[in-house]
Amino acid sequence: MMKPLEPLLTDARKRIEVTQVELDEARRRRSVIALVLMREFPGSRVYVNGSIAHGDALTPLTDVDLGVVVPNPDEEYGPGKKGPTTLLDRAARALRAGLREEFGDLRVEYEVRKRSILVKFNDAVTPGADDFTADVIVAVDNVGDDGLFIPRFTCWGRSHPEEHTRRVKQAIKDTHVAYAHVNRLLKHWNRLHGKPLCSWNIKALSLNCLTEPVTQLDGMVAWFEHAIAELSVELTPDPAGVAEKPISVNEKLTRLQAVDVLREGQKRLNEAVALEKAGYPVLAHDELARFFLDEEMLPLPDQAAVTAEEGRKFRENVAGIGVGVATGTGLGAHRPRIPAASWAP
Amino acid sequence: MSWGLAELVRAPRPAARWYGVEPHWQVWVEADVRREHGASLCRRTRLDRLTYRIPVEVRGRRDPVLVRIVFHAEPPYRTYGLPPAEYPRVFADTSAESPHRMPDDDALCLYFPHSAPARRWRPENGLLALIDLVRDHLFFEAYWRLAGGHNGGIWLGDEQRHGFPARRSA
Repeated sequence: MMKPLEPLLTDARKRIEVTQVELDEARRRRSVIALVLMREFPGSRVYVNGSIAHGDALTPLTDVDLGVVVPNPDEEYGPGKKGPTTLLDRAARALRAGLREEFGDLRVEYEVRKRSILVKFNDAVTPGADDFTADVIVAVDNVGDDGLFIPRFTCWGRSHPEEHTRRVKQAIKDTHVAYAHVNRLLKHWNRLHGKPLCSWNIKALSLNCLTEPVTQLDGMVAWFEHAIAELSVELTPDPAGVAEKPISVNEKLTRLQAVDVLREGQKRLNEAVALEKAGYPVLAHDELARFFLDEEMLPLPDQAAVTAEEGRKFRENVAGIGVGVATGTGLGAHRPRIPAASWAP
Repeated sequence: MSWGLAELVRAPRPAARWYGVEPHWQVWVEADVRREHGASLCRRTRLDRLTYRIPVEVRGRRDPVLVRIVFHAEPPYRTYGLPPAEYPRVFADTSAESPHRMPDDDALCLYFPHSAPARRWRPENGLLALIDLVRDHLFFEAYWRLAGGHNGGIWLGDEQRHGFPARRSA
């Protein structure tokens, strides 16, 4: 008996979800980093963001994100004042000293990076994965306005990661967790199709189109429609309204090339939905599996069954029984066909 | 077919300019398939032939099927009175069992050459229409094999009886 698309998606999602073992270890390492930084900067506060904080982490888990907001009572640091280099240097030294006992091969880098300190553990959380890293932001409060000042090379830029996490958590609550489930699936599709968008862009777009409980399938359909409509016009602005610049697409693509990638995905997804509605569950499963193109996550159905059902669909369409007018086979079946007759001499 | 130097010297030369080497013909015939399939369509232009290669998704096949479409300046096969541009050779799934293949070179028999123009492919239809016919044809072949092949297989598409009828089809 062929499963409907929604339970297929649930099974598929569970195969790509981060495991509890991965989560526990990642959180433990995050806590260790937080303790080191709070010791180095007394009076500081730590915030969490990224996939673990947002509930949409995938397996294998490769990184964790956090930030430390350093006290700045005399406003010594900030735009037009001292840059972040001293603070980054202190944080990096503290991390090297504080983590070396447990993670002997640790590397801590920040000198040529734009924003964060990169901690390379040389000790993967997931067996077989390359490594596990932590992205650490050293920030100061923006006293006169919303958000924080975070490093931008040797200067400061504006951001509001705490507000981002707050909004994401609210969206998860409002949608009865559908927001996290849909983003997980979208992130997996994204990483299999050249990463046209960064994960945060996916979630930022979701904040505006996933606002109430929804099935995973409907959520994905709504996201593609919204994302294509928005990105066709402009890059995604910061949801917190603080960052000076919008969220960039993959640097190897233009905005419209990223939209083209999304359109291709949307075509497949919508075809899967249409096929299920029209009463062709095997074809719908086949189309959804080809949408992800990951046989470990969502295997293709038996192809002989696909051939048989496509034959049924073709005969029903020719007889005028099927929904819509489809004179051909496969994707593009709705394009008019030359009424040719196959032959041989 | 590989040719030695002697054969190349003796071989009749096609006209220097024939439809397949004209950029405007290529652009015109490719326009719709480029929009649909983008860079997956590969074109190779030679002195006497124009070859397109494209992977085509066919329902029921795990992987795309590589399709080769060859236009000749002077076809080495019978075109049954059609201009060369209207009767290219199309190859895919070499040696697959099928009731509709050319016996000499296994090319797909997509349409009866004596059909009315509206019932066969012509360049003005665009390559995408030809590729759609190929996709359907490959699916019909797979379905026919699944349904029994030479032992009662069913051909889902329209068929013209093999050979030539006594009178031309309307």
